Amino acid sequence: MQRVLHLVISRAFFQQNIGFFLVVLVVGGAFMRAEEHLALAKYAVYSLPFLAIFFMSLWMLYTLKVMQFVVKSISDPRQEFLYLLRLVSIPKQISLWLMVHLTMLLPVLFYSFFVISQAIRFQVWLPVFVILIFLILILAIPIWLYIWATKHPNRSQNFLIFNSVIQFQLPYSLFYIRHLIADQKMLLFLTKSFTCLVLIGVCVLYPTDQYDGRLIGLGILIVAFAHTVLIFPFHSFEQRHLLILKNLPVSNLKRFVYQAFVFALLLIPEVIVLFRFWPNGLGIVLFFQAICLGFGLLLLIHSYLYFRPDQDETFAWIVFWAFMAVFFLIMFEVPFEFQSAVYLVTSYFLFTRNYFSVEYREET
Amino acid sequence: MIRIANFKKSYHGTLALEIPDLQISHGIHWIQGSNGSGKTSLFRCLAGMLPFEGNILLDGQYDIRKHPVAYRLRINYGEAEPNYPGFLTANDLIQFVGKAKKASKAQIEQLITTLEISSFMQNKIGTYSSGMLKKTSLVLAFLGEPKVILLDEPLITIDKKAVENMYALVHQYHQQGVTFLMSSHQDIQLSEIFVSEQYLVQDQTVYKKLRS
Repeated sequence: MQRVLHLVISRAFFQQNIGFFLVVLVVGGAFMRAEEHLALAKYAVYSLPFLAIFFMSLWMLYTLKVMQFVVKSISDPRQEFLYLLRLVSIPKQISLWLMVHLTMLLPVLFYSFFVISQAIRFQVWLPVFVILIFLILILAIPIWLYIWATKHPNRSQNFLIFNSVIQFQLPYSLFYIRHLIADQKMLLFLTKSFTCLVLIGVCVLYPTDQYDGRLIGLGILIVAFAHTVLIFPFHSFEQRHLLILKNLPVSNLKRFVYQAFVFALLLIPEVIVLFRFWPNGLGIVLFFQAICLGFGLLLLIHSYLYFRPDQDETFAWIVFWAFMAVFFLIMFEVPFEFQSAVYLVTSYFLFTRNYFSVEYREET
Repeated sequence: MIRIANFKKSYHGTLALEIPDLQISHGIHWIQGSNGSGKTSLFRCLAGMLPFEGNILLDGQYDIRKHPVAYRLRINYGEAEPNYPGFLTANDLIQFVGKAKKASKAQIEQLITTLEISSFMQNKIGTYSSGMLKKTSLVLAFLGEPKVILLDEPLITIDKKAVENMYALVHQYHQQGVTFLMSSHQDIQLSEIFVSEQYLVQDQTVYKKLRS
């Protein structure tokens, strides 16, 4: 019985949220040093409001996410056999759900014990007590809810209120990113790993006093063109699953801005990496210019696909020559801001001229 | 109501549909045609979702190209076989499309109730049956204040109760001045809906059928 619960609930939870855990790992593991984690925990130990507002709120949100998943799993018509759990004794039900819930709460438990260990180290006992009470509550209340849910199979009425309270309504700007996380995990992971490593490489390999800003430009160029593998699926995703978008009464400018926002969100990991490893001596203005260059290039490649949607050999050559052209523009120190403006205007022009007239081969 | 002139739709050089001149007046119209005759292409072109040659004018003033926003605000489309992203919920889609089509909260609530989707609208679309998907696409088709609603095979995959609910909505919207173009293999005339005109999509064009 425990094994079935593990397979259909806890394992399914981690599988479905692999993208979320990846983001947490990257932010918590790669961009924060060990000493920064220690400093944060120490601050929380000495400041109860900070502990409550920052850590406990995050742990609570995570617990709500877990609860929502379990309740949805119980109400899933394909998993109605979970209602049979009410046939076993209450102590047995508690132990079964406890194991499931503990497994899913492991990230919270791990971090909370880390904060407790810091509190013990500094011999501050109140946070230890507060965290333990908090942990008991986020273990006991959900288990009570799960047992209650299996006893009330009238799912549509019983769960709707709970679901609607914590249901996160996905905005358009996250549709594609959610699609990548759901269906193109490996592609997303490999692309982002590659582009982040390229940026770390160009930032830390030449930490001289006379750092050449063009090196950053070349890194950004590689990042933008590496993203073509994430831009292609954007077009087929909207064509296959969101054809209705073309029926919506939205101006071209708004459509362009919405799509630009999607790509801005997609570039967040690179922006964080660039900020984190930005070479000393290079001004903050160049940082923003570099971001704009990458953003402009990304939008230009994206809009070009509305002009020429077929990804054949000719397209590969066009990408190659475009890469070489921008390479030389960077080497000849054509200002990043000028290039960004030209790419942005061109991409808007290509978008507005071709958005409604583009025809993909899949439509036949 | 809708004026189609010099219309040509081709796929990679092969003509799929040609309409020299067609005027569709206010009413409920039944579009017939065999599989692959071009009904869906016609609907998608009318909805502004596919490119074509020629011109489409709505209400004598809204040109599909010159007034892209105003035109699309007034014409809605219910897909025959919707293929929405599996990770979204019906609610995500309804709120998103509803906002774009300027649908009121009360209207959204009414459509959710009438088409009976409240029990599954918070679940991911990937878990839906074909009937649930169809009901979701019907809710989207009725959002806002359209002048024309295109329903592509609205009767397939939904049960008898849902068909009755949909007919009730068609009747209600038609009384408020909305024109319907419905493609269906089933006989719409057998329902309580009064069909104004019948059209046949055949031989790469559209014929108006004479009343028998």
